[in-house]
Amino acid sequence: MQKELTNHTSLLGQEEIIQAIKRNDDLVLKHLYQKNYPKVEQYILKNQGSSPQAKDIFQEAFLAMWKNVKLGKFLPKGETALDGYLYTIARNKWTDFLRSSRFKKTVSVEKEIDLERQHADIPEEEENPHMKNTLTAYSRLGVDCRSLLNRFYFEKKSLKEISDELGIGAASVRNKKYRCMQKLRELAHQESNAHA
Amino acid sequence: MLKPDFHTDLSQEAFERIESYLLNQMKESEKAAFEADLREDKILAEQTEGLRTLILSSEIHTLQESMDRFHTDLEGGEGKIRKLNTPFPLKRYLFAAAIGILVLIGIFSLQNGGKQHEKLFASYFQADPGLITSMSSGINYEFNKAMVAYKEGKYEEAIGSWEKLYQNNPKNDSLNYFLGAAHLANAEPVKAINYLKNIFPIEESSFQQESFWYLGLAYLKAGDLDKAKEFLEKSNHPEKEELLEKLSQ
Repeated sequence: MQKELTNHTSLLGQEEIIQAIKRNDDLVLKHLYQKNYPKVEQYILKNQGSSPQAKDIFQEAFLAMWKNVKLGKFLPKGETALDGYLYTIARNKWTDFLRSSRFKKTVSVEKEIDLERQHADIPEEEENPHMKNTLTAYSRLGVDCRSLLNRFYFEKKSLKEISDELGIGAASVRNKKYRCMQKLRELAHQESNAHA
Repeated sequence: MLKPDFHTDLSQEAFERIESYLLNQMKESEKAAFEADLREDKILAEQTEGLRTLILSSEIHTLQESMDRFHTDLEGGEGKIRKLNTPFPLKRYLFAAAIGILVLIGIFSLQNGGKQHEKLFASYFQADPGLITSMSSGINYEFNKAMVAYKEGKYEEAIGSWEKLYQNNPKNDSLNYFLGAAHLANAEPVKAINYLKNIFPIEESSFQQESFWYLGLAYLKAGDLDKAKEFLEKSNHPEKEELLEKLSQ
């Protein structure tokens, strides 16, 4: 029973929530996403945005939260801190968008909006200039390789678990993983050269 | 920032060593030796940065797919975002027979006499129909099992299970709400109040409105009419005005 309960963020303490995010626990991520999205959407809709914009902004914020937790830059003290953090990142991102020239060009009448950025303990995002190329490279990778790498790196499954799932030996899984990563390196190299 | 390397030769052994470092699977001594090598060997450092970026990309790619899936689930069949603060992702469901039960309770109560506020309670109270349970997911098995008992009218059995869960999760709004609902259905208004009053401080709880209504009814049943009115006023239940009017008569 305890195991069932630890899958729920509202029932987790600080260390458990961090570990659940780090191991990409699908239930915890889903709960955090679905619990926090409506509030962000409501904010963006009230401030001249649309639902698709709210979705994009929220997903960027969610990704930033995930990265910061993973890198140990943000240590939420329980779920409430995490909710507040997600909301603040999303709100800041929307504020940045409203201030951007892209938005100002499309809006002729400026309504009064709260453009104050919130600073509460939000680590600045470090943009990795290579990430765009490596993400493109990853999307060009074959389905089999993506499925294998996903199981190993995202779902954190062991070679033995993957070997059982795929019905091939653990040694074959290990070799295949190496070949897939070599292929991914090659694609990333091509992308880097194409956008150098 | 180190330039990631994607093209220099990388043997399987070398790859697995870097991977083991990045996934934090090395023993302390191995890690120290690897970090010493990183400081000395620029190619190794760039290869490590390359693999770090690729592994992160793999995770981000999957996370993006997961987020889209969460979003689609959230939009649901109604094409509308459901505002749910419950950690138990279950759909609320109304029984068509509820009105029939209400009438039966009302008739039963009138036949059996009782105080005026008890009669009013019986006229307006209908048990919360509960949540749809999904036993196949394996999640919250205990919670769902108790929900099945609750929906079958086995309130004591449901209360017993939920109270065990409550000990470790006293701030969970679903547990507070259904423990309150079950106690009220089991004619224990004071116990119901103790749980239901924990809901309304949780502003985003999807059970907030229901908790106001049930708190009003629980106080009514307990005979505290002032408190009953206070909570009924906060409720948006369609029968709120009618009941308040009867209470002021």
